[in-house]
Parts: sequence; structure tokens; C-alpha cells
Amino acid sequence: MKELNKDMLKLAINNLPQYEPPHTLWQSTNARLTLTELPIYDAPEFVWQNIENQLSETQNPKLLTQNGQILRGGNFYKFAVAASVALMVGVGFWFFKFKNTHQNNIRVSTEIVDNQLIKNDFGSDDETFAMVEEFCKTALPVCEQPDFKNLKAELDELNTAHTRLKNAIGDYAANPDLIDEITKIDNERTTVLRQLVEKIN
Amino acid sequence: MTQDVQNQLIAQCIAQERKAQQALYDQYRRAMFTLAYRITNDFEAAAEVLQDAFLQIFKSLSHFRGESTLGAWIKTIVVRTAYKHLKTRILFQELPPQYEETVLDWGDAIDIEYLEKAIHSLSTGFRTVFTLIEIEGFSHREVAEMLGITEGTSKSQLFYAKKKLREILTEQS
Repeated sequence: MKELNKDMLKLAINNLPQYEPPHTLWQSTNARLTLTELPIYDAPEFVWQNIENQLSETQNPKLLTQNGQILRGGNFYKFAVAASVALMVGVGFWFFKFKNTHQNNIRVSTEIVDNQLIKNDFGSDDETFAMVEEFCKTALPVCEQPDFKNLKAELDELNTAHTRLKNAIGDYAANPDLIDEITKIDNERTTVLRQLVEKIN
Repeated sequence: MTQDVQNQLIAQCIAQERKAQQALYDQYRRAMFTLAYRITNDFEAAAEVLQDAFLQIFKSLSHFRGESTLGAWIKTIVVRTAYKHLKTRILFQELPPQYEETVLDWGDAIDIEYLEKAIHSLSTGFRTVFTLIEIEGFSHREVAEMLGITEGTSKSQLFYAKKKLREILTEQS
């Protein structure tokens, strides 16, 4: 490219106007500079000690009885076995009633419980899930519908994931991350189950 | 400002002395605000750019090694800040160069007011490259590095910016 009279452009550029920023700009810049210079305080040592104590408690959960006694080790397992037996009797009664009446009245509800309790109570609905499977074996037409089958497939996947996690957690349930994960899966299973039940009913 | 005075000013700014920081700001505010305005095409945006750029300047002044002049270093920060501030990314299209057969004649005189308006009517890409090279004196290599484009793109943008400017100036006169 050839430029003729480029000096004229240079001259014009040199005379282009300059602009003043608003007078308040330095004031707000000054304020922002002050903010960046605010002191940073160190946390008192007891804060970490408290955190550490809380973490230890989370890793070694305690279960309190009504009179404030801490259930640990053998006591805890006795409590768990008793709760399981009670649950199985309840479920057996319900199943018996269901078989005799031939009514499709399955209901599922979700309630928010104490986090500590739910961590130690995962998988308590296993029997209920198994019964839904039994129910479907008696072959209602609804069980053959595509959306029902999709939900059922989803439930099966969640069940598989639940079993794997349960095996990974083992008997002592000491890993909070895994417990949280299995709790999430249980909640999802409940949701899917609720949808299945709605279709059955 | 002598080199010694400037070095002292820099040292005081690094030590967070507010008066020195304000002195540095006052020294460059007009030129840098104008540069930010030419890139953003908006006074409000230019003010935001100037503030952000000076905060960055004060924060990183201790890293200034004197490899360029302080003014050039500050200018680069303002350009980068303004470029980042543009709401829409500039699409620098690689345009077919027609350098050789084109002749641009700037005539006997250019009306400053017209030129100013013409610059602001250019597209963001054309305006930015024209401002940085013709007004601020950056090289194509420096512009390419700052804007993340090739030198070829910078050259073709400048060519078409000038061509467009000439057309606008002809229409206005």
C-alpha cells in the first residue's frame, strides 16, 4: 500500500483530543486500594482444635439411648439386630396382609431424620424393595408398560450400586463419604420406588 | 521526570505510600484514560478500565524491571485491561490483503474533529489496531502479542482501518 501525504495523518493524530477521567475515579481507586491493604488476622488456635475434635466425633459416631447412655461396639450391634428383627416382623405382617387382600396398596414415604441416625440406618428398606419385585412377579399389566420397565431398570441399577457400596463400607461404617453416597442412593431408590408404586396403585 | 525521581516514586508506590500512588496516577491518567476510551468507545467503560489497570499496576509494580519505559509498561497493562473489558470478543477476520495496488491519499489537511469521529465509528477490531499502531506507536509484533493475533492479521486490520477512515473522511468533507 502506498500512502500519500501521510504526514497530514500524523499531524492530525498528534492533535487528537485527550480526555480527563472523572474526578471521583481516584477516590474510588483509593478506596479499593485501602480494601486490599486491610490486615489479615490469624485464627485462634482453639478453632482448629475444635474442628479436629468434631472430625474425630464424625469418624467415631456415637449413638445415644434415651437415658443418655452411649451405645458402642456390642451394644450397638445388639440394638441394630433388635431393630432389624422388628422391621422384618413388621414387613412380614404387611406382606401377609397384602397377599390375602390382593389390594395394591403400597405406600412409600420419605422423612427427614437426624443425620447421625440415617448414617447408621442405610439399607433398612431392602425388604420393601424386594417385595416390589415379588409383586411384579405376580404380573400386573402395569409391570409390562415401557415407562414402568424403565423405572424398574433404574431401580435395578440403584440396587446394584447400593450393594456394591454396602460391601465397600463393610461392617464398621467408618467412611463418612461412602455413607453419604449410600444415603443418596437410598433416597434415589425411594424416589423411584414411589413412582413405581404410583403406577401400581 | 528524571530517572532518579521516577525510581523514587516507584519505590514509594511499592511501599504503598498513597501520595506517591496518586502522583503516578495523576501523571498518566489523561493519556491512559484516552487510550482506554479509544479501545472501549465508552467513557464509563474507560473509567472502569483505568481503575482496574491502576490497581493492577500498583499490585505488580514490584515486578517492573525497567526493560521498557514505565509509560510503555503502564500502557501495555491498560491495553490488556481494556481488551479484556470489551464485552464482545473481537472477531479479527483474516482479510485478503490488497496492499500493493492500493493508494491512500490523506490530502492537504485533515479535520481533527472529523478524524476523531471517524475513528470512533470504526469497528472494534479496526479501531483497536489503528489506535495501538498509529496513535500509540506499538509495533505489529507487540499488537499481535497483546491481542493474541498474528502479525499478518494486525497488518491487514490496519490496512482496512485506514481505508475505511479515508472513506469516512471523504464522505464527511
